Amino acid sequence: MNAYAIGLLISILVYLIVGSYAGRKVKHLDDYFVAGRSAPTLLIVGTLVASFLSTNAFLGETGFSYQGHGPQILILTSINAMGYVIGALFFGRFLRRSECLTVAEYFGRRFESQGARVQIAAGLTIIIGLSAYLLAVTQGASLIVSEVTDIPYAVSLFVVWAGYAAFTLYSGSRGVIITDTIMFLLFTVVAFVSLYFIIASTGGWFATIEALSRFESKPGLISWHGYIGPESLWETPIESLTWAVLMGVSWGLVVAVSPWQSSRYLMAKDEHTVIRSACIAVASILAVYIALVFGATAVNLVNPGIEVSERVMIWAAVNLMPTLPAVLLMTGIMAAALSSASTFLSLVSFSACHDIFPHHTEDDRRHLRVSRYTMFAVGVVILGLAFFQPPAILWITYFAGTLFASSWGPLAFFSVWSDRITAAGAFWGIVTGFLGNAVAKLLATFEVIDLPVFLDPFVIGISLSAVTILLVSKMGRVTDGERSYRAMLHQIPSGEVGGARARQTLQISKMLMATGALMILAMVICYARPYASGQEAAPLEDSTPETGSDDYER
Amino acid sequence: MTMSGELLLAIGYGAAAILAGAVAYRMIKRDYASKSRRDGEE
Repeated sequence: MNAYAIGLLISILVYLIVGSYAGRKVKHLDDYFVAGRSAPTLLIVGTLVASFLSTNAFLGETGFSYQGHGPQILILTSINAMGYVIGALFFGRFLRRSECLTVAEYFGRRFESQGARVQIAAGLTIIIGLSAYLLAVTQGASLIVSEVTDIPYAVSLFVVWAGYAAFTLYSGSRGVIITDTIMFLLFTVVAFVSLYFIIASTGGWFATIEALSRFESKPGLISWHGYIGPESLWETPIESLTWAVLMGVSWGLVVAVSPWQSSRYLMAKDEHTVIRSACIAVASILAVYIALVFGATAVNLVNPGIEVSERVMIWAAVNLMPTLPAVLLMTGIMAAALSSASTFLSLVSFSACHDIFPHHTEDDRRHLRVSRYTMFAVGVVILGLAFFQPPAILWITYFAGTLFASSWGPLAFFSVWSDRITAAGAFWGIVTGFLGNAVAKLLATFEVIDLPVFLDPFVIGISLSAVTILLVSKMGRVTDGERSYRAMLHQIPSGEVGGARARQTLQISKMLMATGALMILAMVICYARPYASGQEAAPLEDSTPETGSDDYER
Repeated sequence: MTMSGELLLAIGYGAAAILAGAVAYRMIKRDYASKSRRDGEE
C-alpha cells in the first residue's frame, strides 16, 4: 500500500468517525434533513463551497485550464461567484423562512393549489439532475483512487461509494455539513499548497506568468480569451468570451437556486448566517479558483503533453511535489469529490422519500428509518450506474448543473418577487426549462443540430421556462392561499432586525468589498503586469516531449 | 501599462467581489439594520 492509499484511507476514516459522531445526535427528521436548523456560519460556508467544488473543479476545470482555457474559467467564476450573494438575498433567506425540509417542498407549498404536482416536478428534476451529477463525481473520485493506488477501477468505485454513502446514510445533513466543512478547509489549503510547489518547479511566480504569456504551442494560454483557433473549442475571442459569460450566468443561477446550494440555507441558524455565509463563499470561491487555474496552467511549462488533461493535478502531485504535500493534494481532491457526493446522495434520497413518495406518518422515528432505507436504495442504484457509464467529468457536471439554472432559475425568483405566478405556470416552467435544456443538449451532443455559442442549451431552457411561466400564469388565477403564503415570506422575523448581529453582518459585506479590492491589486501585480512584460519578450520554445506522454515519472 | 484584456480581467475578477459586497451591504442596511425598516420589502 503506497503513501497515497494510506492518506486516502485515513481521510475516509476521519469522515466516517466524524459522521458517526454526528449521526448519534440525529433524533428527529429535522436533524436528518436540515441539521436541526441550527448551523452556524462556518458550517454553512463549508457545505456551500464543498458541495459546489467537486471533481468538476479539481479535475475537470483544472484540465480545462491546462488545455489553455484558464482565463475563461476565471471570467466564468467571477460571474458565477456573485450568484451566492444574489441567491442568498433574493431567494435563500426567503426559502429559510418557509421552514420546509426540501426546496421542492417549498415550491409545493408556495403554489399550494397544485402543490403536489409542483413538488413532484421539482423533486424529479432533483433526482434526475443530481443523480447524473453524483454519478460523475463518484466516477471522478474513483479514477483518482484507481490512478494513485493501482487498484482496479471497479474496486476503487466501491471504496469511494462506501466512503461517502456510509456516513451520509447514518448522519444525514447533520454529518454532511460537518464533514463538508472539514473537507472545505482541507482542499482550500491544499489548493494553495499545490500552487506553491507547482510554481516553485516552474521558476517562481513572475517568471512563470511571463513564460506562459509567450507559450507557443498553445497561443493565448493565459491571455484574456485563452487558447483559441481552429484546433481549439472556440475560434475567436468573442466566442470564447460569450461561452464564459453564459456559463458564468448559468452557474451563478446554479449557486443561487440549485437544490444542493440553496438547501444549505434551510440549515442556517438565522438569516444573518445565510447572508454572511454567502459573502464568505464568494471570497472563498474566487480565491480557490485563482490557485487552481494558475497552478494547472503552469504545469504546461513542465509537461505540455499530458494527453488526458483531467489528470493534470494528479500528474502534478506525483511529479512536482514532495510526498506529504502530494498526499495532501490527493486527499484534498478526494475531499472535494466526497463532499459533493454526500450532499447529492442526501438530496436525491430526501427528494425520493419526501417529494416523490411522501411517507405520511406522525411517527418521526419511523419516517427517519424510511428515509435511511431510501437513501441506501438510491446509493445502490448510483453504484450500479457508475459501473456502466463511461466517465466524462466536466461535461456531465456542466450539463447536469445547468439543468437547475434553466428549470428552477426563473421560478425561484418569481416565487418570491411576483404575486402573478400561478401553480400551473410554476409546474410548466419547471418542465419546459428542464426539457428545453436537456433536449437541446442531447440533440447537440449527437450532432443532430449545431447550436451557435450564444444559443447554449441553458439559454434555450431558461428562456422557455420564463416565457412559459409568464404565459401560463396569464391564463390562470392566483389563489388567496398563494398570495398570503408569499406575503408571509416577506415578513422579516423581528428577532433578526437591529443589534450586534446586524452590525456584524454589515461588517462581513464590507470585508467582502475589501477582499475584492485586494484581489484587483493582486491580479494586476501578479497577472496583468507580468503578462504584459512577457509579451514584450521573445516567444518561448516549449518543451513538448516528442511522444507527448502523461505517464507518471515516479 | 496600457489597458488590455488581461488588465480588464484582473480588475473584473476583484470587482465581482466588490459588487457582491455592495449589493449585500445595501440590502442588509435596508432590511436588518434598523427596527423601523421591518416588513418593508413589499
